[in-house]
Amino acid sequence: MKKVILLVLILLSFGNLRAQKIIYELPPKVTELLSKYLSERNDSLKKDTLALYLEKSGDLYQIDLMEFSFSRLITDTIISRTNRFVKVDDTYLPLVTEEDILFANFGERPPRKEGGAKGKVKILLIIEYFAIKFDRKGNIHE
Amino acid sequence: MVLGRTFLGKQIPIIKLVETHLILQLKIKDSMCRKLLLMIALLALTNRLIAQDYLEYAFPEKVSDEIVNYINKVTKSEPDAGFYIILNSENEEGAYKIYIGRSEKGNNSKKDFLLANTNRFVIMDSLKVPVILDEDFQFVAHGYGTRGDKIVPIRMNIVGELYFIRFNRYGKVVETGW
Repeated sequence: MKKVILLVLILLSFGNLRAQKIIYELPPKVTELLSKYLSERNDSLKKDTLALYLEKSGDLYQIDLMEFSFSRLITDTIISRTNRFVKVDDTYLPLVTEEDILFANFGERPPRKEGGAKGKVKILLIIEYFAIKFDRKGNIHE
Repeated sequence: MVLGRTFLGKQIPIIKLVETHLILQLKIKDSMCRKLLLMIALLALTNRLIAQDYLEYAFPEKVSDEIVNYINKVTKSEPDAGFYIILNSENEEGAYKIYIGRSEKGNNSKKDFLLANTNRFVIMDSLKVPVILDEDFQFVAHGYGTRGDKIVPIRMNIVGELYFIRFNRYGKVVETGW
């Protein structure tokens, strides 16, 4: 019995070492708009391939809905590893930030010239999907 | 007269029985221990694999050099010092600012939550420094409070002077200071 308790305690301690989810709470108006959009297109959207992209645009923030399945690089490097999520209704959508795209290590490229320094793989992300622009107080701008 | 029990038709003296019992018990304990150790090793290995599942950031070379220089300078006088980075995209497009903070456990439990759970790290010269994003402060709620009739999330801000490095999209360090 003691051994079982010991084993359970060990298991729990290992479990606790894993990083917890960091949940972002967007302003209520933003979450409402996202929720409305997702429920209206519930039939055509595959929720398990959706993520949110958060970027700063001057004094404002912009949140974009993105479908990540098109890019294996983004899926493998960011989506599968991120522990930042936004809760919209009962769904936790993975969050990709502007900093993730700019600074995540996507791997190296061979040097352009012989003996030169290795290059870094960079991604240019253009999203044309559902987007909301809002300020720090939660007011919707676009 | 020999005191003992009959086992497979043979009389076994008590002392032998006790020895056998002890050996059996030791063997059982030994095999249990081995199983337990094996399970711990497997769990540790699994955990190690999981723990490696972080998002690695890579800053421009000159920015990394500045970070390493600052950390090396501090650790010369305080070898046990721990560090973290706050990454901030400035309002001006293509301008970024890195703050380097000293991680002292227990000072700010809300910041500790982010430090313990951020899975963004920058790795430079065998240093693995956790990265917190400016948005973490803006959008992560650390409990709830009331403002008038409304229930509002409690946000966190870092107060105090931190060493900063400002750089642009081309990786050029524009300014450093406190």
